[in-house]
Amino acid sequence: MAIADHKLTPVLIGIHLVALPMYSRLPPYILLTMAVLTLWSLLIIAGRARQPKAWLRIVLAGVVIVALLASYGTVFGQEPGIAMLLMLSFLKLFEMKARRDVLLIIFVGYFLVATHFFHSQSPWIAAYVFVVVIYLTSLLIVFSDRLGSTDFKTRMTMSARMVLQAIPLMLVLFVLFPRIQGPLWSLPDDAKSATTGVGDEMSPGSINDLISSSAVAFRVQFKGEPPAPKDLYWRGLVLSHYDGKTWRRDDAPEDLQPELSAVSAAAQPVEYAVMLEPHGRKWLYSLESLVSLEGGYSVTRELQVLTKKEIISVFSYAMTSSLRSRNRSLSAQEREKNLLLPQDFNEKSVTLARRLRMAAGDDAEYADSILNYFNTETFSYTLSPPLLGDNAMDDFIFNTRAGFCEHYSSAFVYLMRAAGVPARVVVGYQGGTLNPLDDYMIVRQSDAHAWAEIWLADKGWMRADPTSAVSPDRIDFGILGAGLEAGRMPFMLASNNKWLLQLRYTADSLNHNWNKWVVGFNEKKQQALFESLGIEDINKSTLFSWMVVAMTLMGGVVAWWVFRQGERKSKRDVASYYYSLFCRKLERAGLMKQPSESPDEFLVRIVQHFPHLKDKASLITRQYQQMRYGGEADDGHKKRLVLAVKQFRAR
Amino acid sequence: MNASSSNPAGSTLARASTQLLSQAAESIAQVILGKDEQIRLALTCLVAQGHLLIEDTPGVGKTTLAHTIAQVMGLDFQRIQFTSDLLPSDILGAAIYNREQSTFEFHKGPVFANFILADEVNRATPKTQSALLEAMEERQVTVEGETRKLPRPFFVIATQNPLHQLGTYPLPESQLDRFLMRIQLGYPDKKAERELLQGADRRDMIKHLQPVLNAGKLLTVQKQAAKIHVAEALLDYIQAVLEFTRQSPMFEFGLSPRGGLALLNAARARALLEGQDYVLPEHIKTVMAAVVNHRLEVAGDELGRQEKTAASYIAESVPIP
Repeated sequence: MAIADHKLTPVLIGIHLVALPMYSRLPPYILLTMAVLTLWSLLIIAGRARQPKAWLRIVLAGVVIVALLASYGTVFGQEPGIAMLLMLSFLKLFEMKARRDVLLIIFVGYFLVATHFFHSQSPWIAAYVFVVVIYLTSLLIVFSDRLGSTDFKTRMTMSARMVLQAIPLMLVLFVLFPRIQGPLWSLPDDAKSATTGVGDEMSPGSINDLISSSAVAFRVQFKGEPPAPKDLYWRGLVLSHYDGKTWRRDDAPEDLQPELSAVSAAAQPVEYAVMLEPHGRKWLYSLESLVSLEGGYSVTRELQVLTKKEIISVFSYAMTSSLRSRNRSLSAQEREKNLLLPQDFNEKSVTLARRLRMAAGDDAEYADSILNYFNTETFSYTLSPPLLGDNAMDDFIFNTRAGFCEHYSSAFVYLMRAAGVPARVVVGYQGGTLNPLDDYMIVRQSDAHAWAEIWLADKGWMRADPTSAVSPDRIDFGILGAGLEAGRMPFMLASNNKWLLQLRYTADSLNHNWNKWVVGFNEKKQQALFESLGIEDINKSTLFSWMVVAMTLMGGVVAWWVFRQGERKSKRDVASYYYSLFCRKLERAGLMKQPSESPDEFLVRIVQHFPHLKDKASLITRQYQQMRYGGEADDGHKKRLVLAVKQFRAR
Repeated sequence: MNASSSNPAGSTLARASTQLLSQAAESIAQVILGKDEQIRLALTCLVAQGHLLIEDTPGVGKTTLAHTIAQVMGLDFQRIQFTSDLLPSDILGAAIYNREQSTFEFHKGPVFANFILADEVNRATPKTQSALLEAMEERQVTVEGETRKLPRPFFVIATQNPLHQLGTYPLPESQLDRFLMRIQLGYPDKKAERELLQGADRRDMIKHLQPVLNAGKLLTVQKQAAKIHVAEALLDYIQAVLEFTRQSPMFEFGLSPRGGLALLNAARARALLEGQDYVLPEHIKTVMAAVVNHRLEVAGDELGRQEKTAASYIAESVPIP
């Protein structure tokens, strides 16, 4: 059966629906090829152009390969592979000979639509994929044997019903499928998405660029009351090395363990679970000071938590921190490292540091005097600081006096080191917003922050946030309360529209729960689920066999139900079934019954085409009519119909 | 068919009805040459207790057909020639003062008959037209506050000349709906035309036709038709047709519920005519054009360009369950 050109419009729409979320990341050559192929197909559908000949199709395939090579340099790997499948789906539109060609496109569509999960596992993408799957299934219905003529709404309803019917099976697979740490199969290198959020370097401007992003960095669920805003310092990395412009990591060797001490007896540990959005980096964020965490991560002497692989999908972990304990690890080597400054620069600053250190009694007093200096002098907190010259510190401390947190933390650490106090920069996030509709905290990219830590001989590493000296509101009321330039703030965050805020929090709450229950349903949660049901120590092979058993049972139930339905089927349904079987036999012989054609009208055509079938076809038509439209019919009719249809040969 | 075993009495009657109707059709076909399908449709309409509108140019045999049917059916026949000065009372009758008895006496109009031929119905004023149409619908006449039942069976054939003529009042859609069917006769084919030219005077032939039925028998036949079985699937089909006409942009407005009933009853009568004790999709399709076309107004000229009528468009668009 040839596929009429005009029937391809829904297929073309289908391919575009599948590709829609990819548009933004497909390279221009591929988009261009896509546009040309789409236009061409539209012309064919409109009857303005013919299907290209075989040689032209080969040329087109070559063009696609060239476009792929020009864009990616290869046709292997995840991104080029997906783009190639997409292109070939378009090309397939040009050689629609039989139904199986359409089916091929539809099945490739099912695969392609699933690849969106490589890039995002958000509930929105999942909902979109769900809708597209329903649409693709409706295409299957269009090109199925008997249902082709139903209208769009009926098809979509039918398809939605079929997809919904598959949900129990999906749930069984979801709950029981053995979870594997990390991705199911290793992805090629290009699968790693771009990095976002706070980086492992800090130079003027690097954090202030993040402020305008309302994207979520991570979400946190506290066990018990969340700490006060002033204690919400989410430590990411410690930057110890300064080259005069940029702060970089200089981690201590991994085999050295941090030494902690609790300074206050009333130190209540804070337990919390973090759901980190993928940032493409190899570290996690923790409140200071980290006491314990679950899972096999390495914790450095600086209390940084490092992972072995880049975080490329939503990642959840649980931690305990004690806000009152201090990190007391400082070797001679580390002391030296945390005092190092580039030589022969910023002489005015060094002089200032020495003068103020002389005036102060001890290191702690000196730190206070620096903070006081930032507070009393005409320093301002701004998102658009002026550029700094070669002697960046001198420039900042004595001339421009306007900067963002990276300027202040940098200047503070510099002044500390210049006076012989070990100090380092810490980057991470500060603050967070509680979702009023749900029980968790949202930390956004706009909460990105940099502060300092100084070593005090009797206390250990102490946090010092020079930004709080310049703009106390930044710490107490968050980034939105800091009185910064409103134009640079993310619109959605800055807006006071209550309705918009409500919507935003609802959406975020949905996202959070999705991450928690669906994306974050890992091996541990799976185990916990079974433990809560009283089943302990379940291993992967047990799970797998349960899954097989559950699926077999479900299949059995469905089979039993279908069987019972068949038993219950009235004679009328039997008649329809066998008559459609008869029609299909004729269809294979080249004669298709139109939906609006009555059995008698069809019989006339059958006799025209196949005069020798007249008697058999009339018998079947009569029996069918009696059973379908007649008042009564008995087993005799049924037997005659079933037998006649079974024996019927159209050729 | 097998159904006969369960309901022998009903089926015998039905078979007898079919027999009578085919005889009637044959008799009529002796006078009206080459118009077998129109004859069958007219009989279907009669059996379905509906009224018939024949729309055609003058001289194609509209009146002759009506005469012949009346004769064969053995019904008392009245012909009303509609003119622009015809008054409602000319049709319904009037109360006339009787001087001798000093009372008003009702003189029945020509409408009090089993079979009415309303010739050139579009030449009368709307007021007169509606007098007839109301009588058709109600099967009773109310004059001077007194209601009088019309005889049963009651069957009206109205003829209308479709050509635009001065001083005519074409029936509006709302009135057309009251006719179960509208048919055209058309010119006879060459063979029939030749026979017509060679043969005897049609009027004489009508006089010599033997009636096949009478009023009582016709009522029985009509009752049989109403009993014909209609499967759920075909009720679904009729509903789908109604729905389709209401949704389709091809029509200004859809079929009324009365249109649906008309389709159903006509299909039943057709099944009886064909000797089938249940309705088949064919029966609905064969009466579709006559029942549906005058009830729908086609929007735009898209259908015309495709050389389709409303009925053929519906028949090929609505799937048969």
